[in-house]
Amino acid sequence: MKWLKMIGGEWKLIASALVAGAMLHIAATLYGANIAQSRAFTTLAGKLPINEVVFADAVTPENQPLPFFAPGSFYSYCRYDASTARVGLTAKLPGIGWSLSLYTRKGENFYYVAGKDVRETDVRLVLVPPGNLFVDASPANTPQSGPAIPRVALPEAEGIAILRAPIKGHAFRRQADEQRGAFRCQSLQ
Amino acid sequence: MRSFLSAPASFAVGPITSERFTRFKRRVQAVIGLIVRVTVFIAIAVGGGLFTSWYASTHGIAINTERVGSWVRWTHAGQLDADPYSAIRNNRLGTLPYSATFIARYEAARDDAGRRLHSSCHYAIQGPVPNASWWRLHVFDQYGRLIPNTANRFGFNAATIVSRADGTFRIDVARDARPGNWLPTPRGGRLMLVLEVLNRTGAADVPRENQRVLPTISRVSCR
Repeated sequence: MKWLKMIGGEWKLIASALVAGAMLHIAATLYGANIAQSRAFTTLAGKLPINEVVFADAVTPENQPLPFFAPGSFYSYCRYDASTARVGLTAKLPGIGWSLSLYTRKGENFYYVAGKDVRETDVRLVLVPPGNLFVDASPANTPQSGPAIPRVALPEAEGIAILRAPIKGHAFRRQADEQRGAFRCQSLQ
Repeated sequence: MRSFLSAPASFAVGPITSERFTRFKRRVQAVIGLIVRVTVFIAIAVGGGLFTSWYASTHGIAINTERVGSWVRWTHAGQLDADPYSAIRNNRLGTLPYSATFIARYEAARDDAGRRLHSSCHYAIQGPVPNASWWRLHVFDQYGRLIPNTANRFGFNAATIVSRADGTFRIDVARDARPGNWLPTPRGGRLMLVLEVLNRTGAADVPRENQRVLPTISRVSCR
């Protein structure tokens, strides 16, 4: 009772502390979410050339590029940068378990396509930078004649594309390693 | 008559009267009261504000996680419009998860009895094979690192699991070799199980309220 009486007498202090706490909570949360750079992107990007595919070795305890990266897949990376020109991506997804995902610098997965079990999926994409009409309209960046290639409007000009090829057992390792060779990533200049 | 050598009135030292002592006591009490108030203010504001932010981005809260048994799914992980707590968590873990829209990713750091998973124990993960086009289950240490083992086995997926005739499976997570689907954890300390499920439409296989059937995690024994 004594404590309750004491707290009751200090309600203004407690109320103002709660308001300050709420403001600090919001500030800390928004700072952490928006200002901080993705550690994953920083870790991977430092090792990858721009607009080129890197076929990584199988993930092992000694060769695990990022935390929680499952070793059941072969990983291929393309660190794309569409700030000066659009980027073309092509890949083949021969079956179930294959996937191509695009990530922003903050580690947000904004595009994803998965392989199907009935037929091979051919993926051809043109990555278009956000709000850069000049780059998009430039003749140098006009795609060659042929069927229209889907354009992906990037939330940010830079990011990482990851092709995951499942390792369906030791016998399939070599096959999966060969099939992922169709992954291409290049600047369309 | 006061001599010019005598101390001025303001510096005069006289006997400590009860009135002066009371005044001094009140002043000390006021200072202590101020210190206590400031401390309480800082504790509530800084402690409460930062702790709740940390808690929501580490353990999750109702708005950004879904719990099924001991499995936890961050419902906005990896999305462009992810809530800030999920974004902080991804940054902190340093991982690149699939968007929760595409892949349902469940994590378990505890068994069904609520005890932390540890490499010194043997666990049985049992349940129906996920009704999905693709799924995989892996074991990591609490920091997301793979646990080295002589079998070079770190998980199972839809293609590598050996299921029973009735459509269920059992995975034994243990230090020593077990028959069937054995996932070795010779060391690693605290463990984390990650189950990723993709359905046939290429979107996350998130079961409805009454259809959530995820594998159970039961402790068999400990060393």
